Amino acid sequence: MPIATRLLIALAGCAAVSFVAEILIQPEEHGAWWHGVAGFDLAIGFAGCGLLVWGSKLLGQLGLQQPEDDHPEDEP
Amino acid sequence: MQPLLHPALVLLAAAPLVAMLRGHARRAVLLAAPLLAMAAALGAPAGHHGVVDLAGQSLVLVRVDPLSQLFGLIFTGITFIGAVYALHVDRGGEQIATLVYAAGGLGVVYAGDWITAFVGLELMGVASLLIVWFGGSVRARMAGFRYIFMHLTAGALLFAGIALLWSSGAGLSLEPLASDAGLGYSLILGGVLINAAVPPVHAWLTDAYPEASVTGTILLSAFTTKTAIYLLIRAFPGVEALAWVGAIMAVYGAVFAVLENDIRRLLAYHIVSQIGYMVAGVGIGTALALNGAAAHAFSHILYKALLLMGAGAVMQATGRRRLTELGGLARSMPVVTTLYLIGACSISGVPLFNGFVSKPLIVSAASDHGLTGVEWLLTIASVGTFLHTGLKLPYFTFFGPDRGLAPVRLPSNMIAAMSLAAVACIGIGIVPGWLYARLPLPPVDYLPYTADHVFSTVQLLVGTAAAFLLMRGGLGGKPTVTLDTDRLWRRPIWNAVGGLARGTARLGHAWRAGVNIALAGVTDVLQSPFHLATPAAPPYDADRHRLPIGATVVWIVVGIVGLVLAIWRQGGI
Amino acid sequence: MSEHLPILIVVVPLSAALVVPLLGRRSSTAAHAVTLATLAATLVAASVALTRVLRTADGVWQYELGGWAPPWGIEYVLDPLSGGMSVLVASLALAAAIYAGPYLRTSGPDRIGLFDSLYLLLVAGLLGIVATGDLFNLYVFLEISSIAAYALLATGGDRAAVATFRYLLVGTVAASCYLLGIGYLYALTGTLNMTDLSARLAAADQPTATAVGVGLIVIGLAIKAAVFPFHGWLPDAYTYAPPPVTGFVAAVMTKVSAYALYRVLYFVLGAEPAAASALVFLGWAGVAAIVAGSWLALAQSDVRRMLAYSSVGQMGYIIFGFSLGSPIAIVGALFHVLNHALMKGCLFLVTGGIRWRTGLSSVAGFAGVGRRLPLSATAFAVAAVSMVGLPPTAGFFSKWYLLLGAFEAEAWLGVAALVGSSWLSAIYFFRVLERLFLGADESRPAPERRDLPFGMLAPALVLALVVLLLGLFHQPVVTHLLERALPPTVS
Repeated sequence: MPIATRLLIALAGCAAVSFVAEILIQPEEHGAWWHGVAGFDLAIGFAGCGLLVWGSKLLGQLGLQQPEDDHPEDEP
Repeated sequence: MQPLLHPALVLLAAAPLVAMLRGHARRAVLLAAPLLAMAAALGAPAGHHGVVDLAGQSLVLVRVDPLSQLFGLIFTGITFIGAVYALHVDRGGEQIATLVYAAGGLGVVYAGDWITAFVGLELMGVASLLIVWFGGSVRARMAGFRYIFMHLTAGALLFAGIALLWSSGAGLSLEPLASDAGLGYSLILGGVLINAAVPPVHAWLTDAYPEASVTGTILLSAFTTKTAIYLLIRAFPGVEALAWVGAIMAVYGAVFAVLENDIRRLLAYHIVSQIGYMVAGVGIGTALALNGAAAHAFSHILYKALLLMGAGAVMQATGRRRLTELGGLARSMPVVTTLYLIGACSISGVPLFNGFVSKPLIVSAASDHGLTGVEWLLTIASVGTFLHTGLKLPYFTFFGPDRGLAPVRLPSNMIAAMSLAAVACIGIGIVPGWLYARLPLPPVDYLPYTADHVFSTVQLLVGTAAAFLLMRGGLGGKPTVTLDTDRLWRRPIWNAVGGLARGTARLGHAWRAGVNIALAGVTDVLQSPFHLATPAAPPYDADRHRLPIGATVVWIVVGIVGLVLAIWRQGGI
Repeated sequence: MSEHLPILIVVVPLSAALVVPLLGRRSSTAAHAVTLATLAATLVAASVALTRVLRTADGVWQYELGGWAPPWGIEYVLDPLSGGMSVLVASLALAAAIYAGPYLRTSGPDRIGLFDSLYLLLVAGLLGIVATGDLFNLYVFLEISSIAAYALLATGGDRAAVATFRYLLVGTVAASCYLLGIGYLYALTGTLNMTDLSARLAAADQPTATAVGVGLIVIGLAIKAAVFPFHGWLPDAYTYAPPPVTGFVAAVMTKVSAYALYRVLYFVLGAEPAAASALVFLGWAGVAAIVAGSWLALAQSDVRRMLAYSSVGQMGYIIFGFSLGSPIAIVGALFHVLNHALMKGCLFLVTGGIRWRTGLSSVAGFAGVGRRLPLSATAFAVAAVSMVGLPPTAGFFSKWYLLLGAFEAEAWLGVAALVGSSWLSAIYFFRVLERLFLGADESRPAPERRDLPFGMLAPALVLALVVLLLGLFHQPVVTHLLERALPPTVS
């Protein structure tokens, strides 16, 4: 869909801008090592989302998801 | 001494008024009561009040300090917002139950000792059960039974734990418990964790909250779990295991929310996820973490209510609650969409909304304290949160393919309530200092609007959004239900309760058969003459399973002989 | 006049019982009015006597019958314990009698005068048990109250008659056991007066005979108190009897027998090893009762039967508390005597009223009744919540004290039984409450809202209110009344 493509381009633009800004401004980092890497949170967001979706779907396939109306205990 | 009026009493006094009044008078009371309660809360003088003596222990009925004031403020506030949202509802019973429920919650947060807290918790349990049952459907009924079952278990654990504390001589005041306090400590912790919906005993929340009515769920989401968090903050700060429990809980809720198809159930799993943050904050235990847990509770109440109000509005307008059946509502319900998105931004931690100034407190504290694993898990959970509440749900509900739904016009009070919550979310986001000034452990040395924080948050969200857009085709809701831990024991407990009844009948049968054989001749005259041959045997039929009175006589003889022998042998002959 | 209060408490209803049937021949309204007046007067007398007893320092009022000094003469003893019990009995008697008014007029026996007479005899008998200081006098009143109870319980119809016959058999066995037991003790000590006997028994030094005597007395009273496993008579008797009778009998009769057990084991037999063994036995029986009563109640579909089995469980609480022997456990048990009388009385009155109105008393039959009889259902709900033991109702506090006593004594089975049975009782009570308030069938038109007549509704509401108030303000009752009812060997 064209809207989706436009959104993707916009997101890519934001990502690029914030990446560059982070390198230029060098905000004071504290905490664990990865905060020092510019653009790391982008990676976490992207990869994390993918991991979550993939992991959840895997669990769903493994039997967590059942067809609806499978609640016999709901009869009074 | 300023006069003290317990906010809970204001709400309890309003309940019978609501029962007796109708129409505009009733609505006036419903709106005025929470505001009065808020005034009472704000005007309460600091310190311990209402100290009474109970069998040698002193109970502190009211303890006013920054933490209880914070919770008192948000509790009365959300009661007001909920009342605005429910103004159009005519069902007095649900309104009364809501008032009592809120009163119980206020009772707990202002309690200075465990017994007063227990009273409030039990009151909340019963009132919330009624709210669930007012959902009206058969599923609500059954979910209600399971709900009260879990809460009574939690209550029993707390009851036993408090009694153990008492008899061990440790005081009952609501202060951090020493971890060597033995079994009582574990029992109380267990009871509180059940109330906090920690997996695997969280299913009562995801099971029952979606079955309550559109208006009932709003308050349900605010009180029970937050009072449990309050108790955790008071009594178990710094228990490091809780940091991990909370982190895993946060991810657990997020994972299940991704799988969900029912919008309110999705949000319910999300409550579990967010409570995980608060539990983790309590576990980390530093001042920043505890402040974070309290701040997050405050923010969560606001934005979760906003989200649920939005979802409820969708349900009410379209009559549907499954993602597979919704879509394209942004055009027909623009106001609801906007307000919902404000809630979604808040929960995702977008800068300028209240989630951004509260959630990172906890993650920061984890990082400062060196708990890197916890920090990772919480970050993943944040990704998940944005994914399902900020992206998936709105996309498939408001955007996405239009299924031609024709939503009904919503009463304006629902929109008004949502707007109030939205304003509060944005307000706190823009002026975090207001919230920070009210946190329990000042000063809060955290600056939300630093370049570092803003960049990392924005990047996280952007990354997630990009991934979502790429994968959105496969993320549509499927018409499925997800199995959760409660399935492990739903069937068995159902069978057990039925089995208890059947087992009793069988025992009675077997006993009767045995006694009959033994005393056939003697007791023939005394046999029950009520013998009815019923074709379908019910589980316990008084006429078939009645104990013949001869059995009692046999027991009497046995009893006399046994007791006399026992006493005689005690005497030493 | 007021010096004779201890005996007046018993004599006034007794005399009225003789007068009322004659009045009843002329006008049943007058007969019932006289009954109510008598019970009101008895309640006033009992309250005045209790206040007087509580004000005096050592708090024992001994009254000699006919000026004949004990141990030869019969004496009546009012101390905080018996004074409190007599107020409890008298107030519940009045409540149930008020309730009986509208019930009798429409569905009761034709001869209201005779019913009232039996009722007054029952009340007189129970008050006599409570007030007396003589063991044989206790037997006399035990029999008076039992026989009156049999007759009253049997008025509920054919099933009630058979159920009462079973009760009669077992009850007579019980009373005979008790009589035989005091016979042994009399043979040992030569006296029937409670205080005198307790002084002389230690000196008698005949362990075998004492064992037999004590054993028989305990079993006899335990049967009347429906201690498991001697409770077989109770479910049927309570289910089929007419509501005003069940309301009173279920509330009070077993409690009075439990009182008698407490009095005999702690005050009369005090330091005897026989008493200690009997208490151990009763402790086990109590725990079994708690478990069995709650378990069996769960299986019932008729609400009255469910309440009856619940009573078996609750008597277990009381007996278990007595058996623990520590001050806090006994206070818990005594408080539970008070609470249970109020709660069960209220529950049976409302259940009977619902059956009277709708003809149904099964759990399913309660569906939607909360809308038809809102105030009655509210009273039921308050009493039910108190039975489950949710704060701040009175039931929570008595269970709390009992639990603390069990913890102190490290009676872990008892702790488990107490907590488990609260859980079970929550299940079966919430089941009924859910049907009551939320079970209305939306498809059928709502039936008219017509609550019970005032005479039937008021006692139930007052009892529910007292249950609530007693929970909130129980501390004065505990300190000024219950703690003064502890036996000298314990406190």
